[in-house]
Amino acid sequence: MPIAIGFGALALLFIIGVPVFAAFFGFNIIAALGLMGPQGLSIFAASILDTSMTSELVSVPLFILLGELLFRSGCITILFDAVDDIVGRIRGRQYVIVVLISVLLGALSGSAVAVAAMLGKTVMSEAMERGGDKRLLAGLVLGGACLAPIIPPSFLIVLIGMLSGTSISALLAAGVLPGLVAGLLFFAYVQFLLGRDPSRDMTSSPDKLRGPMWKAVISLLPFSIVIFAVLGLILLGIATPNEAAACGVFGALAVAAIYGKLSVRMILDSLKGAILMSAMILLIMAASKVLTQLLAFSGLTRDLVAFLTALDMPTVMVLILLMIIPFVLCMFLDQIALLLILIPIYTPLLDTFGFDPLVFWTLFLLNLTLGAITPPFGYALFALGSASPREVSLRDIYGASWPFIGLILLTLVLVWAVPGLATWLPSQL
Amino acid sequence: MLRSLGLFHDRLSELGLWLGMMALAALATLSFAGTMSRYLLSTPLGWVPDWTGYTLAASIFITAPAVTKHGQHVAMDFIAAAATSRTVVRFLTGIAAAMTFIVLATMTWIVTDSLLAAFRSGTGTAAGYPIPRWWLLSFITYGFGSSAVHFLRTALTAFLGKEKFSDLHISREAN
Repeated sequence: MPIAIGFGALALLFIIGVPVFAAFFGFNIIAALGLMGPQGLSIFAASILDTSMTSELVSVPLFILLGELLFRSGCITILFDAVDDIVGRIRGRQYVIVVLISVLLGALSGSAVAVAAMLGKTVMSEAMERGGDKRLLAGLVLGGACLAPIIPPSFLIVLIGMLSGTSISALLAAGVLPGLVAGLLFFAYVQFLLGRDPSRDMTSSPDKLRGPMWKAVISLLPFSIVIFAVLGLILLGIATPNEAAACGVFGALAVAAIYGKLSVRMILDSLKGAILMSAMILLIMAASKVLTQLLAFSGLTRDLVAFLTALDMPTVMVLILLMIIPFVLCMFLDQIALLLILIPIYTPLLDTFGFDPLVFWTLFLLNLTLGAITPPFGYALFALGSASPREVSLRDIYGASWPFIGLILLTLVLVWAVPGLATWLPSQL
Repeated sequence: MLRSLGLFHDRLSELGLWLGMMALAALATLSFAGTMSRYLLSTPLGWVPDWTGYTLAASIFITAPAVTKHGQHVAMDFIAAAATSRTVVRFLTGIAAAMTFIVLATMTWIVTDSLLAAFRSGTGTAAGYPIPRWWLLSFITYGFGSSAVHFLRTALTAFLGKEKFSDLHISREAN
């Protein structure tokens, strides 16, 4: 009962517009008082302290700093130009460029919102000037933004790993192939669409002269420092996620220096942006341990396991049920808030129903990223809305998101049907 | 007087932001140095994991007031965002800020209690390189307390309709 009252209070605080971290602390206070009385509050300080000094969480600010350094240095523009030069004459060339850049950005940054804003501001404007279909472009940008949290580096994966007790390195590796599969599906969708209706392809030819491909490939090489520092070191089993993130940060500084974009102002702006965002996320996380302890103490998770077991449903139906919940809630709730609520409840269910943690949490992450592009409240929708050209309305963006929601759902089904997509790479660590 | 106190509070929050930025730079440098030392010099720096944890905890809570001041907290404020009347937006903003103040003031009280107990007992962190727990609890108390004051100022500004207590923009008014 106190937990139910706590959840009621949590919903009320969310609706009123209380910041997510404060709403969680409000829930914790009410639930602790209801379950244990005033002495229940004594666990708070220790839990907050233990969570906030968890060394695994160090990679969260470092991954965010890595993305900030690359975006604020302007190095991403070089990436755009190089990919533009590399992609040859192919149907839907400009659309394919968006897909490729999305995958590359996914391997350089973990923020769906940052990728949506960056692509909306740059690639989308340019492609629209060349006669690109605004809805298809908006959809591709949204789909591409979805790849950022799936392909490492990703702070969402670190949070999932920490909250669920799953190896963070293995989870980071598990996201790579599903991310690439989603990218391939986007490519196939573009080809299918343009095959059916060639008029949606760009009509005007680009004014810019394309440089030689070898030059473009060489200009991309510095980025491999970052990709190797993060992905390579983890996949080779050389470094922990924290170490890889730190190497990635210094790799990003090296990339900026190579391109002559390194400046004190840029570093300070990146540090400021990264610490503000990290503190916001980690304040929400600080509430996590108390929340988990309260849920365990209340017996809610035990009751849920008993309830689902009593339903005697096939395992696949349980999986679908467990995936529908975040899919629906993601349309209304913040992703990190949802992580905090659902992971402590879901974790005991994995053992009961025999789900592979890597497959399950990868599916869960894909589901969460869907939240960022699902109308009406997905963050990436608003980020794209503010960054894209004026003629793209929020209504266009909402409409554009649905086919890509379908493609991410297809990726979900593929990961479930072929678990090796999520488990093969981690098994090589 | 109130304005001067408000200015002092804002400057303190900005100082916290700069300290947080320095802590983040230190986190990256410590982690990188630890990695290089382990793999290139075969000399693991055993104190690095503990100290990065401490730095992380301190950085979160010393930056927390600046996060509030800069309006960086994520909130599901779609009702206020959908409201068109300036009065309604002000009222909703005030209610949200007042509720947040109550929660954070309670948290400050709870953590202060633990801080004093830790100070009296002198207990250290459970780590290979321990430090007194009250050091870190001080940052947590400051983070909650100062953020609570920011929300109180926002609530007062929203309800009294003047920018007297806070220069924090009630961003939703822009809608």
